[in-house]
Amino acid sequence: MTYHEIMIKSPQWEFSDFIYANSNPIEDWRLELSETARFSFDKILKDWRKTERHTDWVALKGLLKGKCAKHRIWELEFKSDKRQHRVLFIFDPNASKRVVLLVGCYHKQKVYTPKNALTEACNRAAMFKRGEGSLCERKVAIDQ
Amino acid sequence: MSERSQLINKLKNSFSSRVAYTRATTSINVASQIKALRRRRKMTQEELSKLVSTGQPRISAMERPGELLTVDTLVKLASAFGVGLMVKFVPFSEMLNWENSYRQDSFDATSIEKDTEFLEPKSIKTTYLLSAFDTSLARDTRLTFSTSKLVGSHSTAVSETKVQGFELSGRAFSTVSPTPSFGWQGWLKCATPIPSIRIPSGAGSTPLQIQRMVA
Repeated sequence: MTYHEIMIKSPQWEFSDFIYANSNPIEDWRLELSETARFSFDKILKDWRKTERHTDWVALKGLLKGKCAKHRIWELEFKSDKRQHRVLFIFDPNASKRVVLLVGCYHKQKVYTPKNALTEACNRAAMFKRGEGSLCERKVAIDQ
Repeated sequence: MSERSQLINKLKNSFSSRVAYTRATTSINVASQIKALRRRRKMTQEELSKLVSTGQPRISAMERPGELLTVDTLVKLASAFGVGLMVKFVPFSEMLNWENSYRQDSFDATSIEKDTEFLEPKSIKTTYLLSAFDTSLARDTRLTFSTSKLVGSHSTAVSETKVQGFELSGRAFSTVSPTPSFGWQGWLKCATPIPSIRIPSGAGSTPLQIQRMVA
């Protein structure tokens, strides 16, 4: 049998910055990046947005262990300008296919900069689960 | 000014911005393709590392965005995957089109042992030109072309899949005016003519147009 059929795909991923105390730490971190690093971060989210299975995501380092384990915090990694950049995030348990970005930081030899990056990520994840703070959806370029 | 306009201005006017953009995009696209091809072939990083005479940590690093690999390294990886490699200078529009149609979870390149067009170029006899374009087509509508088994599929955002005896290729396009519309144009080549391509009920009035061409 020969046929042609149409299948509608499920929605794409969304990315939101966690905002509290009137500040957006993710956007503040992004604006301090070099131009190459900023392009890289934006491009990674653009690719993630349309990649259905998160296990296929390029630059996904994995689930953090230790004190972050109970909050199920994940790590995005990329290198730019000889620096290892990290973004710590969680999957929103209340929404399908939404990622909540918590902290942007650097990483070198097992040390995160700022030093409280992991603690901050845990605190923000806990705040988010308690319904504190708010989300700001990140504009991810599509086909641009 | 929209973010896109800002980006275009930067790329038009600044050498360093073009370097930054191309470096970032290339490093991610290359890392992503290596990971995708390795996974499609169900290879471990360890297995791939042996094929290209390096260590597993090096493969792990290659699959992380950030490093621009040498052409020599890319050639070795391509050979390990059984595919060719093209490095070419292109307009930004072409780079962007490719990037937009690329998807990590469906990217593949036919390995040489299954590359019918390369192995038996004369086995492909019939070409059908196909196009679908309508305001009712959503951005991510997926068009699936099948005979008794899946031939391949394209969506307005992605190109993928080839099986022996068939080739499917095309590109997505969109228009903004008068209403946003998405479409796909391409061709299906096959060793033996296909009697017909049916649009199943439920596909509505999707204007899939088919034109047979004799090679």
